[in-house]
Amino acid sequence: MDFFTPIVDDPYSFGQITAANALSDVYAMGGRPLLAMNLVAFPVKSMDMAVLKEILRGGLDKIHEAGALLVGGHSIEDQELKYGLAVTGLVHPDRVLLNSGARPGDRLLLTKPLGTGVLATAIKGGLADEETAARMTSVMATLNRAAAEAMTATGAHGCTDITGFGLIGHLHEMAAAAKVAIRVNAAALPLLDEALHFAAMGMIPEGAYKNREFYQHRVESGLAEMDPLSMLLYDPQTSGGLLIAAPAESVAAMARQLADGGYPLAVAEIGEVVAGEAGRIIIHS
Amino acid sequence: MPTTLDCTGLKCPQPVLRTRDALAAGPEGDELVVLVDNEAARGNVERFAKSQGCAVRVEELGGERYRLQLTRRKDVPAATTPFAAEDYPCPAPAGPGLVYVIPADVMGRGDEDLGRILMRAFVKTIAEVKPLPEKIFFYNGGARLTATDSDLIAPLKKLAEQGVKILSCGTCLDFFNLKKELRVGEVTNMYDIMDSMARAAKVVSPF
Repeated sequence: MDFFTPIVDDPYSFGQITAANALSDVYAMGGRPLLAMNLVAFPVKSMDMAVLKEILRGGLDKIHEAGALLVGGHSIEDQELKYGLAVTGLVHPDRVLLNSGARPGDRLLLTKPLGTGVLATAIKGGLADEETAARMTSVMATLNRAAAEAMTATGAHGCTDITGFGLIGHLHEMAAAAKVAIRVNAAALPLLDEALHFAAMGMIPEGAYKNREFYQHRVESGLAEMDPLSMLLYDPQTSGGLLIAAPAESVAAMARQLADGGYPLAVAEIGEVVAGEAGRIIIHS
Repeated sequence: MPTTLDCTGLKCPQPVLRTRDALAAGPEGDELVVLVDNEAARGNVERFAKSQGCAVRVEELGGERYRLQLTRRKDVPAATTPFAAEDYPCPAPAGPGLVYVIPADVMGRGDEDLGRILMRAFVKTIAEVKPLPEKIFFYNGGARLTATDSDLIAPLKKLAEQGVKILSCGTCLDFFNLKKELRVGEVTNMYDIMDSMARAAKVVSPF
């Protein structure tokens, strides 16, 4: 389960993003969502009920797109609007994917472009245009369903989804849990359009600096400190993509399946799992 | 003397937006000093300034406080990115958005006791009306409310937790001999009161 305070202005999109994010936990374990329950905190006295209706409609559309059922929920009155979902899914016990499953020799596939935190900051600052905002929203609202289906069809060793700790945080968690090191090819990273531009302009959310402070001692980076890409590696993501560890041929097959199925977002092989100090992340420029 | 831009207390992306406006306003070759008080603001202002062709010198003042000295380099074109401030008609607000002013401990005229009841209801209702004000000023009889009215301390503290600045006039607290009794928010002065009222997008006051 997961819930958020609003991350975009449009209530329908907020509902979609929140649901995509909550459903993602099931997808990241190689599962299929079955049931969802809404969690709502709403300022009944000060906000129009139409807003809540739109949020729930956005959430329900994503639940249906996931092939799951909305079976109930709970709501309370609160001064600050919050929406989330508790999701139950199904996965065969032998085929549960954890971040600890990554093995040396595995390649890493990332299934959504990075940069939602930077773009959200630029939007907050009134610097990004509507097109950029719409692109960011659609990335966050995209279900990890197709990515998870490609992953389970081909088989993988380990998986997690990228959220608030940024790419590096989740890479580190994966590497530490699997007692391996990870090499990342920075040039291969899929990025949202304009994310580098706005990162260079200092539109970097505070969370990215917190992530960097927390994780940078585990990172050996070939990127210059002022390279805007180096901060995008720490950028907290909302409803980010799956980070999948699997043998090279499986990763290639997954990328192919996604492309053939018309998956709308940038997908890339971003690095490999290597034997080495557990939890160490090496970034190649 | 270089212009100093005080961005302490501001969260991202505000320090960058203010720096952008200050750089856009200043003539070529000018120096700008920016004060910030968090790591993210330091990093972001430094990145922005460099992206705009400035040399940056960072001085640590301790406790996450930094002084950034920005110098526009003559040999570099002003904007190394396709970004121009005038392309984005969304400047940082110059002053606070919404300011509430509580000038007395009664609301309306007619009956003092009724006025006191109304004022208490008014203050308690502030939290229900969105958007919340950025600042609430209490002066003259209003300053009594932040010191002695035990019914209002909890709701005002709650507003303060939500980021609303509760500010009481120091001269007024002195006059009523209540300076030591202040129970919520901070003491302020006439300059702050007038500056905020003059630059606020909107001032709301019961009368």
